[in-house]
Amino acid sequence: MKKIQLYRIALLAMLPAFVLTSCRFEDEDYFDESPALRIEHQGDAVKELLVSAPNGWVMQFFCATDVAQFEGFNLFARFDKNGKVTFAGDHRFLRDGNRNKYTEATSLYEMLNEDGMVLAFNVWNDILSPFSDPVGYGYAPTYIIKDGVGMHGDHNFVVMSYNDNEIILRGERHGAEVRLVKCDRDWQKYIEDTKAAKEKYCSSELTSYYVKSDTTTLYFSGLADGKFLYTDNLDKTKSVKVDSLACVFTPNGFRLERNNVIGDKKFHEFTFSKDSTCLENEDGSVKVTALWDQHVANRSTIWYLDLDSLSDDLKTLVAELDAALTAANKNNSLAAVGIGKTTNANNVTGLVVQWYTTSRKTTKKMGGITFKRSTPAYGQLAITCDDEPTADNEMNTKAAEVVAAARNLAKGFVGTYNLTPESYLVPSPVTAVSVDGTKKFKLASK
Amino acid sequence: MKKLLYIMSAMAILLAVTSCGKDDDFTESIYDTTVQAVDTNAATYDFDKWLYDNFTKPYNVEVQYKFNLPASDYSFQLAPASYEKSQLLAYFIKYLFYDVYIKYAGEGFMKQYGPRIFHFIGSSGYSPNTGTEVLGLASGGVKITLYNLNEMKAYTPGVSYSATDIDVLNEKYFHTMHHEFSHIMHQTKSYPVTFGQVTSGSYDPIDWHERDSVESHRLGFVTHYASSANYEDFVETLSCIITDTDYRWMMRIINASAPGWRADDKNDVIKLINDLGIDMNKAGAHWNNFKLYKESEYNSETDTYEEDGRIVLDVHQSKEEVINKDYTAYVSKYKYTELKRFNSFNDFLDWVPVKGDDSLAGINAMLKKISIATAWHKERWGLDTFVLRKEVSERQDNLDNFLKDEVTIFPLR
Repeated sequence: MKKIQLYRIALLAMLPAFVLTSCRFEDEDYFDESPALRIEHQGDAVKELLVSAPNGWVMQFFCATDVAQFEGFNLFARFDKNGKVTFAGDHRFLRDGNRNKYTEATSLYEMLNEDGMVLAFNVWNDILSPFSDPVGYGYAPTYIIKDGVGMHGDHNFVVMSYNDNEIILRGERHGAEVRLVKCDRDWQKYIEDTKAAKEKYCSSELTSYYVKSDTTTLYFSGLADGKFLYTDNLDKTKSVKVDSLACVFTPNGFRLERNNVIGDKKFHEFTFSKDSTCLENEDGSVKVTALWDQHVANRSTIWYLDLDSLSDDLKTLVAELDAALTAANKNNSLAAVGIGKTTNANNVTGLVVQWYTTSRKTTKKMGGITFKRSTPAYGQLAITCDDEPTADNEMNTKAAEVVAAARNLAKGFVGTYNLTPESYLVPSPVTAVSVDGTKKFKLASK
Repeated sequence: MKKLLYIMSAMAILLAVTSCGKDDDFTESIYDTTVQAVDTNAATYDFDKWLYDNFTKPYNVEVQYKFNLPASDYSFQLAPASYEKSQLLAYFIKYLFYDVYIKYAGEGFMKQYGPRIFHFIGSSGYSPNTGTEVLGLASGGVKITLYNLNEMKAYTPGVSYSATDIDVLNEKYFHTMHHEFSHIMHQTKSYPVTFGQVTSGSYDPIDWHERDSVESHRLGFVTHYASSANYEDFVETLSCIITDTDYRWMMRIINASAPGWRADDKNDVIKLINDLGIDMNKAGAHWNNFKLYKESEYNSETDTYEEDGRIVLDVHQSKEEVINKDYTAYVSKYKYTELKRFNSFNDFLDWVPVKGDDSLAGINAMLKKISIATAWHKERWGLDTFVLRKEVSERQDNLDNFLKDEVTIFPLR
């Protein structure tokens, strides 16, 4: 009996310990504040950050379409402490006659505490709101016609991350990533600088680009229109990887709407390399250049030869052609030599010869001899020629000696060359040196 | 020993209880009650203060002019409302809506039954699939969402609202407002089931938008949307009485009456026109110089037009086209043969045939429903629908003066 009593006493003595331990709160708090308060205080911090930028922010804005239907847009925003925001932009969807014109508009912003921090632009703004207005973009801004679909742009954005210079947002409804970057200069200056930079890597003539890592090469086009339409094969029928992304231009290059990968290398934004020979990604592991070498090989518009740049053997052949022209007709002399497509009725692609038809050198004619160009490897040009290459009609009107000299010159170019362009991004003069180092010439557009 | 056990048990319980206790000091509220209702530092302070003074304080209404995404309808792509146009609409709501009901039903009416929230949306709720457009929405008897604000005529000092502008204002906003408010009212006090029985067989909740006005009126509905469901019919009936122009009503009456009426309909039509305050003999009005046409529809199997039994007003002729029998060209879907020209509405009243046909709905059904809806307004709410119409109409006639004297559009600070 006593033993039982002792057990009872022992059990009773232990009871407070059980109860106490059940009430003890062992878990450490990871945060000092409740989730609601933390969101609110972070919202305050983001607002303070937004307001703190003296030049405001560049908003790299994207619409959330499955394929890149639209380019990325550079909008500008300055935030006041009292909830006012001033937007600016010069995009093609601005209404009221402001299409492509720099325009400013004020409206409101708010930091909302929903499931996370939300930056809301919740009254109409002429710069931002056209992207969320459900009207047909094909007619806008000339005609504003309801279609219930619009451009899939957002006006409420969840704050994904932020630091002193950058705030990453995600559209609350459609989900496109939108990035705010502290603007380091006057807004219109930013627009001008961006346009000037774009001219250094975008042209109407050379519209395709390489994206290269150590091991892989992709190709893309559409950059002039703010798009990154890419494929893994220039022959699109063989392509297995095709995608389209929107991109936004910066004063140093361009940025894609989202991260992408080539091999194991990530890329999101491209900026000029130090030597300006290409655009490269954040860590320099992915490089963008235009298809400049293929452009040299495929361009039908004439590349003119810088006659002073020719190696001696080619110089001799050119001099012989000039002499043959004059011998055949004393009023004739060589005007220029180029590579491309002649403009005569039965035009040929290959060597292009221009000669003056008067002693005063006031009028010119053009004739051509066929040869073939190709790109055997990146940065190379190969020229091949038949034993008796075809001459076009205009060339055939000349004396046999002239045609023979032109054929000799065409055959003189036969070989494989290493090319060095002045720009790897836009059409520019190119120096060609044969792989054996014996021949050299320089091509230019004029 | 037992005593010891009791003492130890009591101590154990005490320890257990006290160990869970906390020394919280409770204050009156955990929220800061010193915060002002309107943020004096906000860029929108002037308008917020105006809203507080004119809506929040007197009627406990929140006007959400800032787009509230989580509270919006995700089935539509929507854009926010313009700050300036939100202000203009808020003024109009006060002048053409609140002040009207208050005048006839007293301050307490809007305090008690008025909506608690207005939500302004810039774009319309446009459905790409059906081509239909939502102009407003009443939810839970407390909230009215108004769409399409950005299409309002913009305010500029000295702006003038023409009759056409007012018609647009009614069609897009105030018809919707009265429509939605009537929903709130019948969600509070139900209307007689007899209303829905009048045209019970003709409601079409799916394809109502395919009915044109001729068809809707012929079936006894004031609008095609009214033919979607009986509760929509009910509020459309009231809303049309309050906001529709004389022209719309007369065209509606002609359409609905043309197939024929029953014995007492003629007198009831004349009474309705009087109640609506319309001058039946108004010189130059379209209803005193119009034509009715018989409609024939193209039959693509026979390549001929066949009468479909519809009588159509000159202003309601369709220009729709269909592909012809041989798929070689587009032809008019309908052809119209003149039935009669009327030089006065009185001629029309004398012309409409009296029929004993039970299937005849049209004006007879419309008159019955108007009678039930207006009686409900009067008996359940003490409101005379026709007096509300007169008041709204007079205020709209005075709109330019109101804009000049009462409206201030506040810029952002």
